[in-house]
Amino acid sequence: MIELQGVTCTYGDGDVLTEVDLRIQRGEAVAIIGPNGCGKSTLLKLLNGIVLPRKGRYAFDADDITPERLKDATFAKRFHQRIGFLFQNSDTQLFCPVVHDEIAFGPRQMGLSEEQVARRVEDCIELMGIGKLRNRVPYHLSEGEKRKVALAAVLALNPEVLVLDEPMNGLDPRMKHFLREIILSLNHGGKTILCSTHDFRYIDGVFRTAVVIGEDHRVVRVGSYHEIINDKDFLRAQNII
Amino acid sequence: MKAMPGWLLQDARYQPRQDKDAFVDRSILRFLSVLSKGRARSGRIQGHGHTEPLVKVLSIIVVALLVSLTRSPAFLVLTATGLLVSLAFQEARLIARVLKTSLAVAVFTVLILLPSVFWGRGSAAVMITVKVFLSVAFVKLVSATADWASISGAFKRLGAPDLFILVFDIALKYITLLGEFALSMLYALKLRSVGRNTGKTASLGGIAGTLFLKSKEMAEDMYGAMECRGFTGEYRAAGRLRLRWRDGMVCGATGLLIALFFLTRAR
Repeated sequence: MIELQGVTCTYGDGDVLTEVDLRIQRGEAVAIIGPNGCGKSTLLKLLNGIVLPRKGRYAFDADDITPERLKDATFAKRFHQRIGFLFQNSDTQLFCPVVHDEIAFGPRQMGLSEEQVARRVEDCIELMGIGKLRNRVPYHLSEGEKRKVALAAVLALNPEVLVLDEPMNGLDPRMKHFLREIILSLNHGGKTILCSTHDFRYIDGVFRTAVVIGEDHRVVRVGSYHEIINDKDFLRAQNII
Repeated sequence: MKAMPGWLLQDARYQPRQDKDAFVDRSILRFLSVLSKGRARSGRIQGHGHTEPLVKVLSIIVVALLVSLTRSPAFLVLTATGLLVSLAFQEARLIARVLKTSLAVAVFTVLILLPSVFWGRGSAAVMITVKVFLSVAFVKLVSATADWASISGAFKRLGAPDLFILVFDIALKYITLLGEFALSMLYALKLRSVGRNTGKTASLGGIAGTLFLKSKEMAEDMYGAMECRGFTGEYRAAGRLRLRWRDGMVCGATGLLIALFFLTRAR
């Protein structure tokens, strides 16, 4: 479903991703692991078409994602609907006056009837357990509540792929546990999950595959999540633990 | 946890509708990416050697003053020669940056002054354009070769009020920081704009509102953190002033320019 071939991304003068090769199948749950500054967030932004490669090829469901292709508004909108992105900082993702509008933002654009929009919004609110927040201003919510609202807003678009950038950051253990269950359920429901994280304690059992990015911005290992996470010498050598 | 709703378990059969949002996308994202690039650059000071920021700031104030006051084309030619000599000691990339900015501003000035050319004030338009070009080029050269913290220190040594330095310092830090924040918000808006958005202005208004709240919160947090570290509203210039031979050369060149200003004025 997702294929990267020799992808290199540059920011300023230096490479932030170097010669990345990656293949992700539909329905997979993949953890992106690496030390700070290795390029995890850039990789996730690349997958969402926010950042484009300087070199190499990125294909989503056999469609090459290029600047020219993304200029086609219809293609770009369909692409963005199919791949949802949960930003690391939820504040940047919430821009509507109240939580209800935030979740309804995407479905309303998709041309759904008001009834269908209302159903989607209520389903997402119930799924995330944020009924009490319905009429609250997103900016004034707690970090955990913001993360729930941002995820609900992404899920309301019904994306096939869910990209999560450090979703556990700044959350309390209860919220982390809740998020783990949601990610697991979404993956069991057929969603492809890609998630960068450092919080290995709370994601145990969620991912089957891990992609390790080294400090030189290259993919240094792709394999079983369980094997990689238990290879302490390797993780130490990569400055991950 | 509630079970997944049925629609979330099926792939969406969705064909986006046409919408006119490409202009908003391109212009705002480009504007903010420039801000973001500014931040990426701010950590790396380019240029050969090291000149004391106080000397640079003082010289730039004098040069800008003389360039704006002069009526002599000869003085402008001599100042331009000085600019070329200063640029000749810099790296190619820095020269390109300085020229790119100053030429862009000069072209903009020409456009503004174009009507005066048709009224027979061509020479005045040329003079103003050259003055703008030179002033911007010198300021850009200083800003590209000195870090902002040292420029704050130079202002303090020049006796600028603490409040001015505080505002200058915070503004510089947060213009780029908030630029990046706004850029992320626009990306989020773009990623979720998967169809026809009938409330584009409301979305942009939401971003502006959040940005305002965020800037207020960040400024308060930063001031609180500064107070916790002993800041009492008073700036002190860090370190001792150490003048080197390069500083002497810059002072000499500025002195020469002052002399040339009066010499060309006398003629």
